Amino acid sequence: MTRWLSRSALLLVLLIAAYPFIWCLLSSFKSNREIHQPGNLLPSSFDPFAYRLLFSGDFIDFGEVLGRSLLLSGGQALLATLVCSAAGFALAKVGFRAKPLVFVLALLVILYPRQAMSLSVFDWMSDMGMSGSLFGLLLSGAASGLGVIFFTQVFGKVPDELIDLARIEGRSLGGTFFTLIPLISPALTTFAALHFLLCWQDHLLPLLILSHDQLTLPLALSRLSDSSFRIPQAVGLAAGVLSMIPLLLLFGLSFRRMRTALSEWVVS
Amino acid sequence: MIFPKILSNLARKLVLLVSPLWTFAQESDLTLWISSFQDQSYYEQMSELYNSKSDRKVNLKVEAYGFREMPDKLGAVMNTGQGAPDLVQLDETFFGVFLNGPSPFLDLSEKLERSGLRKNLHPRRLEVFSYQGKTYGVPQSLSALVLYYRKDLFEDFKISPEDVATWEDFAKVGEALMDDHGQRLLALDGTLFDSLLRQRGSDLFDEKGEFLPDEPIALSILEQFAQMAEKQIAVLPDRGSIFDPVFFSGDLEMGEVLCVIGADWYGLDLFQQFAPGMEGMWGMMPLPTWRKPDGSLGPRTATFAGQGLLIMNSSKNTEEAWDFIEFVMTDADANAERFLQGNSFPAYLPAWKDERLLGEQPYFRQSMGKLLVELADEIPVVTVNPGRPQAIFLMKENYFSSIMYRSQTPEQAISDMREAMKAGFGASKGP
Amino acid sequence: MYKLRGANACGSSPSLLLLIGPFVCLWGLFWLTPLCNGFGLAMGISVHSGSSYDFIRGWENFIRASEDAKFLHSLKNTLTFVGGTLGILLPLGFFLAAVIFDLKKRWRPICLFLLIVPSLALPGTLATLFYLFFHGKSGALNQFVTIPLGLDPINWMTDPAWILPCLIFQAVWRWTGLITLLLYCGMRSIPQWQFEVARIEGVSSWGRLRTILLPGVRHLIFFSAIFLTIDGLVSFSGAYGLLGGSGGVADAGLLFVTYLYQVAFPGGSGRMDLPLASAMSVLTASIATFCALFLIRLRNRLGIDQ
Repeated sequence: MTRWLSRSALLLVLLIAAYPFIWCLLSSFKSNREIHQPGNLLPSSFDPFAYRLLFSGDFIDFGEVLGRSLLLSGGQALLATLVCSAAGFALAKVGFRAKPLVFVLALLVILYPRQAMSLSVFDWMSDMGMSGSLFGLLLSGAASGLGVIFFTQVFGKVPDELIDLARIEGRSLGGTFFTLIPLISPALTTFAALHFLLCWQDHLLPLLILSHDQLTLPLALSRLSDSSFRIPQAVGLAAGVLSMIPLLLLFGLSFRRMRTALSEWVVS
Repeated sequence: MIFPKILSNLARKLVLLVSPLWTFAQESDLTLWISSFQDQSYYEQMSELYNSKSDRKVNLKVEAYGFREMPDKLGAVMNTGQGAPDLVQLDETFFGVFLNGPSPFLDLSEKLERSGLRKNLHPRRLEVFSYQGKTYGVPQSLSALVLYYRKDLFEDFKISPEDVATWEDFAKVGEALMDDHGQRLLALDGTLFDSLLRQRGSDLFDEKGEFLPDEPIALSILEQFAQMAEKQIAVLPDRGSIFDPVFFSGDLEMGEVLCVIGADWYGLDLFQQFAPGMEGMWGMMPLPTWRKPDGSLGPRTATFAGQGLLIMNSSKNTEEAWDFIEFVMTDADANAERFLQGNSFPAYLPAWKDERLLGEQPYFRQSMGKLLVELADEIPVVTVNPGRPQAIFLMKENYFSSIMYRSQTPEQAISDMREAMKAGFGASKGP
Repeated sequence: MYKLRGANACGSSPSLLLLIGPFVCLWGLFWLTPLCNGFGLAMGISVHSGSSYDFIRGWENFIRASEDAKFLHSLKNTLTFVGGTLGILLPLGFFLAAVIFDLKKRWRPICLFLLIVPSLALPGTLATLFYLFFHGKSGALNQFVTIPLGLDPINWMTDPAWILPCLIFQAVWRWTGLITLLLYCGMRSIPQWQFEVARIEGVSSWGRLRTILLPGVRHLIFFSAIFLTIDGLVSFSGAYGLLGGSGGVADAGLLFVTYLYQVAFPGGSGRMDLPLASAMSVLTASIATFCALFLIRLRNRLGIDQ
């Protein structure tokens, strides 16, 4: 009984969760008029005019935008995972004097809103000659305070014996860290996915730093949903739908990996 | 505390050594920032027109950002000047924001004088981009408000435009309409307040910079409209905005209201785009007004928003930029196209004789140009102040709807607003 | 804990530098320096104009921030927002994860996959979606839910009582999938023998939930709470999409970062007062850090997760 009740609740939540994708997909076939009548769920016809317009290159070069966003978010997620896991390892397993300071500063840094800082970051990056640089933007988000705290937690759960073992084998600290990597790979994947998402959706800093020709997906979407409505809104929604597909694939793949990795995860 | 500066200098030197690794400058003769795609296609055409008509050549790069994005980005590049455009098309609403401190825009007063543009542009519109005796922008639209009304239903209900010459008459007609037919008359919007204030001879600021110099007038306007809202004569749309596409496909097409107040571009663009099926149903007339103390009618219009072209101080091509502005503002085709493509009715007086601007609008079956020319002399003065944008946003987003829904009295709202304005720009006169 | 001895203890080991160096460098370059610049701005110095330190003006910024009624109002809203999001999301995520954990193996990925969809959508798309979803009487929520239920349509986004709940709903809806996924992964890593023992001892499903699953994912719940709190405190894109940078009627949906945006950026509400925005950020970040440290100390003292 409770089982069926909880399963129907799950079904309801799944429906609600799937709504945006379904709505987005259906609306990408609608005219502006139909979109602005929110009571209509179905489009009058399934003419993929918006997809044709999107790939016509009249408004944006969608392939290029998608590629740039993937490069930026993927690169930043990889870098952040590497940098933060290393720092997290050091914080969890190595005693050093400046540790509490590093920890407090990491906290302070997470809690200082990026929106308030983005102007300072922009100024600072202009000073360094990095305005308009995708690479600079990639670097700027790689130091994640959240990541450090996450990996401190994760490494905290790794038994000290494993580290002692590595030490007896004569490995250096860095070497020990690398031997532990396979052990925590689910955590690595999880964090990378999370960071990827946050970077994927970032709007304000890319707006300030990148030049007009260098669009990321959020910037492209805001350009497509132009206030004069001269571009059919369906084009923006079509871009939204298409941008979800690589993400779904990515998550599908990393989900499989997470599961296999998890079943091998002996530590608890 | 000075170490960030030292650090920044150090880093700059360091980075200069390695910067070729990641910077790639894009060279273009002139860059123009605008905030809508519609204007982007217009300006791209204009640069072609300029190149074909003028002996100078320009390589204009038009970069479109969102309505809020553009001022955001402009605010960011203003400090460093790096990546700043040469030209910017800015809405009058945002102009004041950039006046708090040294102006990032070039003073165009002398250029306007020398070229003769000053006397050929509508003076009320030039004032919108002027502050402390200097003019920084060239207005590209008249942006005068008119009353859009349902011609067909006005006839059905036997109302003639003369019946609603003043706001008092308007309220009476509305009350009768509500009593007899349950029909609402007007859609409200939070951006109307300052235009109404000017229509009654006051403004958000006076010359000395005092906020709401005639508070009784402001209160009486708000009270008058709140009463209309209470009686359902005038209603706020669901999202509190008449610029919402759903307002057109919902309220307007369902005949919820008979009148909307909007500037030239509201009728040229939004109506035809969002309610294409209503062609021929709408007409245009002057706004209802207030009587002056001597009994004569006050101005039957006031301006609202509207874009202008400005040159950035940091630009290295100010002469070229000015030449382009002058062309766009004075060329007959450039002015006509701006109107015909649905952007705006120009503020350039000689263009007003152009038949293309005075012709009948197919959508309205009436000439918008003739009505605007008739009203142009009555436009009241806008007093520019750095606090003006904030006041407009506060009224639009916070207080107007709470007054109309009667969750705040006009007195409370205005007193709250005064308080909020103090927090806004008290000590922030730039470093 | 494994401690290095001698010189290494001072953190001068090349290995240690290798581990922690990249983070500290990046962080110094892209967080600490702008943060100092921001702090400098709040204290009345500007890197660009090179003006000297002006304590009076700096102090004034903090006074202005602390006296700004809207700032305090936005903090209050943000706390409600964070509290509401946490209060709904954590139990919901745990519940869903447990239900999915009970499903047959082949259904699990499909469910998780569907749940994750909302968090993958871009804020721009969501802005359009929710704009039309929460619209007045013609909005989708009213058309599909409120009116069929026989209720009066609610003007969600202009009724001050509903604005904040709508924002919370949006956040819950967006993050449920990720939290569920995280907790589900945690449940998967609980050793199988614990379930075997429970089965042999005939523990009820409720008991299993309480004695095995909950303790098994406690550290992840703690992490999710931190993540959601931080995301909530600095949350912006949701409210920006829904309210277009404003705080909504009577500022009922004015979150802290929305207000920061309004103060610092011209497009927000026609102001550009970076020193004030910096002062507000410094104040809030210090208070939040203090609270976070207190919580962590509390957690260590209670011995959770040891």
